[in-house]
Amino acid sequence: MFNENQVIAKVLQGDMRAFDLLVKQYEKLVCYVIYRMIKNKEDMEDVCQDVFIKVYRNLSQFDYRAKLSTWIAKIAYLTAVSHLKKNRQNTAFNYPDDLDNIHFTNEHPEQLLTRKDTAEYLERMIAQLPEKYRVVITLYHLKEFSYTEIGEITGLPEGTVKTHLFRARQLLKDALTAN
Amino acid sequence: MSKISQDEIQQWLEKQPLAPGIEPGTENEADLKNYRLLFDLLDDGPPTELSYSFTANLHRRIQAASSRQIGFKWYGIAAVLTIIGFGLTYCLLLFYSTNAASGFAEVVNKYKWVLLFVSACFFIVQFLESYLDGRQKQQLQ
Repeated sequence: MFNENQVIAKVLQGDMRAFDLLVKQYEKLVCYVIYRMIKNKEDMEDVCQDVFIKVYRNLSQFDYRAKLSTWIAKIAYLTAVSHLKKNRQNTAFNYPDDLDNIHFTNEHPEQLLTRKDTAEYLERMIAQLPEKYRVVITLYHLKEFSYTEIGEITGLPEGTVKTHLFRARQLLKDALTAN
Repeated sequence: MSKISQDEIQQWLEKQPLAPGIEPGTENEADLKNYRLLFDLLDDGPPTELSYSFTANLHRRIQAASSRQIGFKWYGIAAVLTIIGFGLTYCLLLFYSTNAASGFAEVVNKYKWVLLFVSACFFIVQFLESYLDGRQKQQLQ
């Protein structure tokens, strides 16, 4: 059983095995957030490493006011945003001012025969969503965070988190239905 | 039954996987099925995972960064100790012979810019090494 307080105390004492446990516990969270946020998947592992290095360096500043997972998710989100800004990847998509008018483009209109096909198609559609929609949908469906916690991670009000989440899911549902 | 809003269906699915009161064959049922499929796929998460060497590479980077920090610290301590060493040598020579002490001070004074230049070069090289290391990593990305 992963004991957050114990692991943090051991990492702060320099125990690298405790840090390995921490990485193992949260690598899925970090991996999913970074994967959905950044466009260039080749950078994914380097950015994930940057996140855990920041966690390691700043762990002494963790004040236990939030869950450790919330704190790490925030670091992952901000690292991804910084990476996107540095690589100017946000200009790849020109989102309309009115986000209700997002239209997906589908370069592979083949029939979705299997669940795997559907999952791959869904990922392509998610990649076309605005960054805030992508991160909210990823964080919620990790089953780890409440709306409030997602708001803390992304800096969005709780109401906006819900709106983004519901709107993103509606767009994706419509895209699935259309195919 | 009237058309249930998309938001209501999503709220039902969030709180309970079985949404009551939806009649079969209606548009609501179709929406519910599609949302259930979507929720299942979203809960599965993206098809990605980190490589087996992720933790090992992470350790290497942390170790390299720590070594650089330790290096700077010890070089700084060595510089301070060298200066203290010069000071102690001068004081000891003062007890032995005033001429020897002033001769020593004159030599140090004569070559002080050389000593400062060599020390500055050493620290600049260390700094550039860590800076270029970081830049190289960014370019590889």
